[in-house]
Amino acid sequence: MPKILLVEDNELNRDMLTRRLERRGFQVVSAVDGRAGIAMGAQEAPDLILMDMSLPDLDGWEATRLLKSSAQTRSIPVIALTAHAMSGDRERAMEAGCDDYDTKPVELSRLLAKIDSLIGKGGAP
Amino acid sequence: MTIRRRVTLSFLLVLVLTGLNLVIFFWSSVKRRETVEDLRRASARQLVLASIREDLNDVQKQVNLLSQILSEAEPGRTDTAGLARFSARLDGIGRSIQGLRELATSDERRHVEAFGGAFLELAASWRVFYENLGVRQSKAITELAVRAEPLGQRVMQELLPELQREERKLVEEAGTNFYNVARLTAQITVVIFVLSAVVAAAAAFQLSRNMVGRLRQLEQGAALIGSGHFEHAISIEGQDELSRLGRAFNEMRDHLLTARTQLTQANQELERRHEDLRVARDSAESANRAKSGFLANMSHELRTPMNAIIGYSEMLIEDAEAAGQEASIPDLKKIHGAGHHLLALINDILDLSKIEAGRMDLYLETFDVESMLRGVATTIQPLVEKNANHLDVRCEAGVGSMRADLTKVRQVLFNLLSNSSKFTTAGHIDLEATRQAAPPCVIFRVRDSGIGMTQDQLSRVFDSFTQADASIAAKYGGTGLGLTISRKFCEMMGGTITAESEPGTGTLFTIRLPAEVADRKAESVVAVDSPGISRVASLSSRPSPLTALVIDDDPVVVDLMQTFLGREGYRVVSASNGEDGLRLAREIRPNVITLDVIMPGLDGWSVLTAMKADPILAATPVILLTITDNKSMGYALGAAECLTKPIDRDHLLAMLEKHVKLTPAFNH
Repeated sequence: MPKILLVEDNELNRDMLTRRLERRGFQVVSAVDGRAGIAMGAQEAPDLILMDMSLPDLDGWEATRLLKSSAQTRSIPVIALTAHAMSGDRERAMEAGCDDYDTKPVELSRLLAKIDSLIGKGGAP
Repeated sequence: MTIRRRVTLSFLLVLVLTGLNLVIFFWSSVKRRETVEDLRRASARQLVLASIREDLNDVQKQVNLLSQILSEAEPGRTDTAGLARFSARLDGIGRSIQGLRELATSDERRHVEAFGGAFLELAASWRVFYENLGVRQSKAITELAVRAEPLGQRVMQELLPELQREERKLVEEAGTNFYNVARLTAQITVVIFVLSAVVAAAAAFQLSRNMVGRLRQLEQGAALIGSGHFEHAISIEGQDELSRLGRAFNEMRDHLLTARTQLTQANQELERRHEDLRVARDSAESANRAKSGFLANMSHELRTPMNAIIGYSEMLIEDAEAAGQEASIPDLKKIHGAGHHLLALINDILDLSKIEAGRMDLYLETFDVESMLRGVATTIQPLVEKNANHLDVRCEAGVGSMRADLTKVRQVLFNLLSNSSKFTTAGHIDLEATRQAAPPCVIFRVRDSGIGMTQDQLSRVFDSFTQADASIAAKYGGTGLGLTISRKFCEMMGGTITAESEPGTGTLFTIRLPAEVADRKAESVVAVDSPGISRVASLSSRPSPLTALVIDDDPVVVDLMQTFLGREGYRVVSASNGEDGLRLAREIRPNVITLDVIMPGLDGWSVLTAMKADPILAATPVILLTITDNKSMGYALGAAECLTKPIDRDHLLAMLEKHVKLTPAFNH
């Protein structure tokens, strides 16, 4: 069962997305801010990370950069979730090292397609 | 005494002296004529006297001769012819004496009469002598001659010389008189001449010394007052013309002083008001910034729960479908749809507030126009089909690729297409892309056969929150911000968007974007509103990146400005009078306005005042074009700059650079 780390500060969104992904057969672990996300990334070794970009303390951009600069977590694909499809958000996310990018509110079928393509590519179990 | 009176008086004095001189001259010439006459008479008398003397001598000699002859001869007969000649000669002398008497002066006449009397006596003696020549004895005749002797002696030796002396004396007197008159005349003339010269010189000297000094005072005073030293007063003495001039100068100075004081007060008042306005503007700007920030934050805060609403409603729909609870699915879908609509609104507001705050950036990339177009068409397809419409995508061969912000181009096209889909039922929607060579741009057209718009609706179609009809929002949905955002995006990329429409036949939107969008920061839009006007209302679009409104009644100036500004990349709109200018300014919201002062009807000052009083236009820089040099008035009324006609192109462009290009951005 692929393990997904969801980094999201908003409780409702975290709960909602966790439950929807679990229904689709993923194991979901979650973190509430950037620092916890980095720690969990190293500790849980997930197959994929869904990273909200607007996080308290350490934001998603910075957390992604740190995850991608660590040898241990570098290979884990990261999908950036930004609250709004602003021009440039995608570029910023790619620049920070994200492997893909999606907008909130999440359109589940589209997100699942992206997850599938990344996990297939990333060679996860 | 006035200068005029003084000059007149001097003149009169000289005139009197000259008159006196003339009188003296006439008197002296009369006198001289008289003396000359006297002299002439005297010399005539002398001549007469000389001839009398000669005649008398002759007669005497004749008598003496005859008496000597007779003393030796015997008495003969009377010589009648000789007597007649003798008598005639004596009569001639008598006539000469008579003539002398007539010529004689009254003083002299006495002597002449004495002489005449003596002569007559003598002549009588001689006549008796001559009559008796032939008759009497020679002795008797000799007695007669001897008796006449003393008388002759007296006449010849006493009376005649006396007369001659008298004559000489008279001639001398006349000579002396003549000389005296001539000398007196000369003396008087010289005195009067000298006197006239002295009077004239004195008058001239006094006048010039008095006037030059005071004129200099006036000159210095006028120069001082002219250079702004209003405290200087010209000293005034007397009552003459110069004093009056001085008084007039002082009065003028008083008026100037009053006027300056009033002007200074008015200026201070204006400065204070200007300062008040500036403070109000600053506070309005900071309020706007705060509002922008607030909106951005609120949008973010609003979006997070929206995500949850949409997400959970989707979950519930899935659950309901899985559990077979068909009845609740439509309601859940309504919640879901409403959530999406609300989210779209929030997103649009965030977009606008970002544009507004100057934080909307361009991310340029090169992309293939046709594949972008296909992508958009695919995305919009469900919406097109919703109202049974048919979408045609036509991409001109060779459109190729362009460099622009892909996301924004897509969003603009998506907005237009969704608009068309909403307002068209069972119709056609065309999406078309063509390329233009010069200047290189890509033109997108979105045409529909929908309900269309009236001119009035068309004029407001790009305004924020303004759908063509309030009821339309209720019927067709939509945030009303899509077109506003689309226009902003186009402008950010250096392009334009225009709409043409007719009610009932459809609408055509044309987007014109540079094939290579210049890489630059999003153009910030500063609209300074009065605090009472909501920020959102000011989000309305401007027609093109830089628009200049030229208000001038002179077509030559308009033409000139069109050339100047057109070359600088401005879109130039012109109005030929103040009323049109104001209306157009409100309509098109130009980046800069050039305003002529002297116009028929509403003049430049009134237009400027009206603009500055209008919260929508107050922040638009106005460049005032004047013929007169009345800049302070222009600045006081709020003009950004005042240029004097004829317009110097470089100066004008520098002003534009200063006021338009450097419009401060909201940076935070």
